[in-house]
Amino acid sequence: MGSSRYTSDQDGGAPGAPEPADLDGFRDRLRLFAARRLGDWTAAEDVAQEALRRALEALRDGRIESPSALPGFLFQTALNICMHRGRSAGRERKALQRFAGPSDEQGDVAQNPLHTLISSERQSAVRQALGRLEPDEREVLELTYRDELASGEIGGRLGLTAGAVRVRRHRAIRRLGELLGVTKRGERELKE
Amino acid sequence: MAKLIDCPKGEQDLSALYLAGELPEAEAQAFEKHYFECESCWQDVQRGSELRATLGNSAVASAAPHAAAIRRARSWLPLAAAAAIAFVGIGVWQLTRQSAVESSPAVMRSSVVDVLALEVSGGPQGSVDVAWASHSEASSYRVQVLGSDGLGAWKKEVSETHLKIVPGDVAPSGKQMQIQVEALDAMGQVVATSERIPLPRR
Repeated sequence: MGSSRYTSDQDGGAPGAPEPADLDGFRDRLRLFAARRLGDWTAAEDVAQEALRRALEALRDGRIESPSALPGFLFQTALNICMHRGRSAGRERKALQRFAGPSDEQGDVAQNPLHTLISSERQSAVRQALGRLEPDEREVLELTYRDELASGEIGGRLGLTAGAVRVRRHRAIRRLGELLGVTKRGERELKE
Repeated sequence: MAKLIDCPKGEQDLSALYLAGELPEAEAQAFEKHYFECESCWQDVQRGSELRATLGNSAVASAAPHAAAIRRARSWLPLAAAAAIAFVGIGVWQLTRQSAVESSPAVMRSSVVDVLALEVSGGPQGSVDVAWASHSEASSYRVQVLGSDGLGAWKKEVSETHLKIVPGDVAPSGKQMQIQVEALDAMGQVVATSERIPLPRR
């Protein structure tokens, strides 16, 4: 039994060994995963790079036998690297504090390195795509991701049920993905 | 094993809560594990992080112990200050009443503790593998198995960041048990604690 409350709907994926090209789709996942844990975009990039390097090595050695094992391998590898880095960073921080005295923690937070996770070009594209959504779709995305309101609260403001808010948001995100040229796997097949 | 939760497609609050740093750490980690396998949920997380960044928030709220501790410390600061004043006041009052006052470890314990990421998985022959993130201030870790009533059923203190629990360690109760790990500093004070995670049934 695994520890996860969530289980994959892709169990028992396609037969055959995974290819190195299969790793490409995981780079952004690894970056976000590590960025949340380490609070540092540069460190997250390093973690992603190292996890992909180890996975490539494992693929070449035949230690990852099926495509369905690849996500789990990458997740666990990235988790281990983050844990190791957290340990080292803690020691480093203590040493720095001994030399430099108390740091300006408010300044650290204000200069949150996670703000740079999404490039300005991408943000510009997202802004343009947002502008092309229906007003009701845009509103629900803004209330969720700008104001960080829960579906129930948004529903209270808009006179909708929480379920209706989720449906509207799901539709808006799918539409946004289409406008950005990123369609979900499966949806592209349906459209063709 | 029966699935506890299927793919949370449509439950879009999950990715929004995850990105806002509002999911408990154990849930966040479980969701991360899931989106490594699920393209649909990953797309939701990706669009959400782009939207957050575009609309003025950080792409994802940090769960790094340092940042989390600062967030908590800030929110607890006024309360902690009030508690400190009250504590001193009560202490002075008690000193005037009696000559000897026993200090309580529970009171001395800091209310600002970090969250410890915990990973629990079933091992061979009914064993359970437990691993957690190391904490820079920890001298040891207390691993506890708690019954459904929240009372401790078994515990062990270790210096490593992993442990294997074998079937003989914890008597089967037939009820769902939970596991929790606490990081202890050199004085035995709790400096970080994990969420309680259900122990895999054997």
